[in-house]
Parts: sequence; C-alpha cells; structure tokens
Amino acid sequence: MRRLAAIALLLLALAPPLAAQSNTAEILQRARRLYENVEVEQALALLRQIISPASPYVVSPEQRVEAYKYLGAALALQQGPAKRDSAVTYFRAAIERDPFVDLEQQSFSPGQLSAFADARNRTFAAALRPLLADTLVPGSGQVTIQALTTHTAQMRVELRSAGGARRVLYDGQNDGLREVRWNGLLGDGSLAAAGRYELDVIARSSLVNLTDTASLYVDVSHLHPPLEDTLPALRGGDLLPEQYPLSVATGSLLKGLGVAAGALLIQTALSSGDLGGGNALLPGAVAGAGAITGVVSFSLRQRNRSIPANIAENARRRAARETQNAGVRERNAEKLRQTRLLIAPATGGVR
Amino acid sequence: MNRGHGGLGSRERGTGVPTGVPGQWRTEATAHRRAGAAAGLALGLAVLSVTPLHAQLGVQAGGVAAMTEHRVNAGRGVEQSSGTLLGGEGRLFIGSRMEVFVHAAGGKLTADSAFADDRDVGEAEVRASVLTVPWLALHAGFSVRSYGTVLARQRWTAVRFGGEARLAFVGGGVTGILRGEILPSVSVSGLEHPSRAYAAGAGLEYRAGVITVELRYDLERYDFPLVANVERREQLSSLKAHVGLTLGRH
Repeated sequence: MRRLAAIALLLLALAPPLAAQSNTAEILQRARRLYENVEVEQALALLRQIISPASPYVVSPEQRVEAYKYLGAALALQQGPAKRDSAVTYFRAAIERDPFVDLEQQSFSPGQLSAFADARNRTFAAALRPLLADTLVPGSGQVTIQALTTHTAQMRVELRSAGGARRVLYDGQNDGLREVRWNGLLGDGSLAAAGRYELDVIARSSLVNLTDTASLYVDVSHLHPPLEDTLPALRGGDLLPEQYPLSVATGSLLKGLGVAAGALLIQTALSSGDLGGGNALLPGAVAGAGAITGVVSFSLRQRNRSIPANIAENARRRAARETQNAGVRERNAEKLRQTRLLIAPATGGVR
Repeated sequence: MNRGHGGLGSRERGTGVPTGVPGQWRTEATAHRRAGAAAGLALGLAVLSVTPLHAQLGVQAGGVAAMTEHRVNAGRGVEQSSGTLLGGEGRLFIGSRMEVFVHAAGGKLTADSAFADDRDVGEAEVRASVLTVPWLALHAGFSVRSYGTVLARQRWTAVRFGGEARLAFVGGGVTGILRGEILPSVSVSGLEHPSRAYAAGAGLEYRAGVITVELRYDLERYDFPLVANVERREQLSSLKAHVGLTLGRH
C-alpha cells in the first residue's frame, strides 16, 4: 500500500513538466498552422508567448529556435521597415542559437529570404554539425562532416589528436553549409590511430571583423580481428650458459690430479707390502696422463671459456623465436590491413 | 721359464685337488655356486629394474692391450712374472642409466724372478652397471681367469661388487675414472678361498666422435688364510690401453 502511494506521488511529480513540454509543442504547432493560414497576428501572439520568460511551459532550445524563426518569418510578411528590422532581429536570435537554421526556398517568400539573408550577414557564427557514428574503410571510404559559416568567411576545418597529429580537411573561402569529407588518414598519409580527436572549425568573417570557432570531439576506434601477442624475447632462464664458470677450469685440474693421486694411492696403499708393492710404471703412466690432462684442461678452459654447443643451441632457439614472432607479425599485419575505422561522437561533443 | 718349483705355488701344484677334507670342499663349492647365482640374480634384477621397454641402445667395442704384472708369495719369496695380454672389450649401453661390460683377454706372462714360472693367462669378465647418478655407477659382475704352466692349470672365479666414479671433465670429451670393488666370493682351484680380496682402478677415457681411447691402471689383491703357517698373498696389476668405437650413444 505504501509502495503504491509512493508510485502515485512520483507520477504526480513527473506529470506537470511533461504536460508543459507537450503544451509548448502544441502551441508551436498551432502558431505554425496560423502562420500558414496567414493569420499572422494570432501566430505572433502565440510565438511571443513561447519565447517569453514568463512562459509557464518548458521550452527546449530547438522549440525556441523554431519560435524565433517563425517570428522573423511572420514579421517579414508585414509591411514597413520596422517590421523588417524586427524580423531580422528575430532571425538573428534564431541564428545565434542555431547557426544551421535555414529557410527553405520553396516555403518562404523572397522578402522573408531577403530578411533572413540580411540576418545572416549581420550575424557571424561558425558551427559543426554533430557526427553520426559510422564506419569506413581507411583510404577508400569517407565520412562527411558538415561545417558552416553564416556568411562569407575564410574557414579552416581540421582534425587534431591529443598527440599532435592533424589533418586539415578544408581551408578556404566559405559561405553557408559545406560538406567536408575525411577518408580516415592523417596529413602524413598514415592511418588515424585509435583515440579521441578534436574536430575544429575556425572561421574569420569577410564582412565583419569577427572570428568564431567551434569544436567537437570524435572517438576513432579500429575494428579488426583480434591480434596475436608476439612471444617475449628469450630471457636468461630460457637460454643455456654460453661460458663455463671460472671454477670449471679449477675443477678440471682437480679431477686430473685426483685421477693421478688415485692411481698412485692404489699402488702404494692397496697393494700388498709382502709382495713388494708392484711395478711403479703401471700406475705412473695413468698418474702422468691424469696430471697432464688436468693441467691442459685447466689451461684451455682458462683461455677459452665459451661453450660452442650452447652458443649454437641458443642461436637456434633465438632464430626459432624470431621465426615464430615473424609469423605472428605477418598474421597481425594481415589482420590490420582489414582494419575499419569506427568514428563516433565523443560524450560532451560540441563546444 | 720353468725352474721346477714355485709358479702356481706348491700347495696347488699338479692336481687341482683342494686341500682339506672332501666334505668341506663340496660345501665350499656349493657356497661359491650360490654366491655366483646371487651375483647373476643381482645383475639380472639390476638390468630389469632400470631398463625401460624402449630404451635407446648403444654399443662400444674395441681392443685392449694390457701390460700385466703378477706377483705371488706362497711362503718361499715373491714370484713375479709380467707380460702383455691382448683382448677385446665391449659395452652395451641400455638407455642412459644401464651398462653391460664384457672383457676377454689372454697372453703370456714371463717369469721375472728366480722362483717364478712362465704362464699363460686367459681371463673374461662381465659386469652390469647402474648409474645411480651421472657420475657414479654401481656394478655387479663375475670374472674367470685361468693360469696355465707346464705343470698345472689353475682356475679362478670371482663375484665382484663395486662402484665407479666418473669425473667428467668440462666439455665432455674426457672422463676420469676411479673404481673400487670387493670380491666377496673367490674360488681358486687347488687353494683355500681368499680371506680378503679386492680390486681398484684409476684411469682416463678420451672421446673424439665415435672413437674412444681409455688408459687405466687396475690392481687386484688376494689375501689367503694362514695354512701350514703360510699366508699366501697374490696380486695382479695391469696398465690397460683400450681403443674402441662407440655407436648409437650421444
């Protein structure tokens, strides 16, 4: 029961603004109908009600621009310079709020169009129309960007990344709306990296001493099949030691001397004393060979500690790893060649 | 050379019949056969326990020349003879942890002392080794040796247990070898069994590709029990040079 009461209160709280917004649209609709029926005074009254600060209804920016536009159009139908000036003033108010506002040639009279053109000449603004999300094939596809100056101006449209990469999309004289196309490449011909870009229009009026800028942000993403990771470079644990430690040479010497000592020890300690020992030449030959082998091995290892077999094996492992990575890079390059750019307006896009 | 006495020793001359009562001889012979059977069983079990079904096999085969010196004192001074034995040796490598070694050689030892006889020597040995760790092989084996003079022939058989340390030099081309063995059961025709018998050796093995050269010094010593107030001592030492080829082992 308590929950039902809360929902009812919430609905009551939301109801008035919805109704108010709906009323503005309704009044605007009625005003347009009166205007089309050339009941200008009644239309003006309704339109003034919409733009009045005392309006009890919520008025959206678009509704306000529409109201100013029809106020200007209605006043432009009336006779007298004062009315025309008022018409121009309302048109300017509409243009200042939305530089893209326009009068359709087939729907308005030459007088209205003239007043609107006068308003545009007196008001200077540069603008960019927000982009719709789109994908393109870099180089061959294109996205269209709509830029505008309200009257004749020197205009430049450019795209800049946070990293400083830029591409000038248009730089020249402009009057009114211009569609500029971008193929996804930057000024140096490289593919636009994924990230956030700022799209700027900078315009300097040719009629009045004014400069205006407008910017919006777009997010560029790369769409391609998932890339493979290359294998990391071989680390110490993945490779065999390529040099013997210094202790190895000493170890070889000790082993040689150990064999020599062993031969002599067998002959002196293990043979029977009753038999007079034995022929010393027999163990002596092995002892000599052991000592010489130990010394030679020690000397060789001191001078050359490299392990050729391990060096060759490590080279083979590195080459195998490089071959694997080359394969990964090649497959990734093929995937990147299939890249599509996704261009979407960033949050908080227009400035 | 035959000076009419000495050589194999006076107690065993001519007959090969053991001293002592006949029953004791049979008992000792039975014990010796049992020891031989035990050694054979140990060899077999060692092979079976460490040999995988598809173990990689390798073979080493070559010739051996041994400068050999024999000394014996049977109570009438040291009889000494020496000479060169020639023969062959082979190793069968079963996997990386098992080896079977065979050795056979023969030759003539010439008397170097007044009481010694010239003698022909023939010997054979087989032993199985297990590498418990790469540098240590434990083995069990069996050997036979025959000494022949113009007067008599003496046959030695021995069961051998021991270990061999293999000290690989850096690079793997050279290995130092130190070996020790006990001979717990030795049978000598015409003599009591030795009360103590052991063998030891030291050597070096050089490998270059498939060629193996080995130089080793071996000594066998046999101390016999006191009989008729005489403690017989016998010793065989040799410097062996082995040259062989190794196939199927890396």
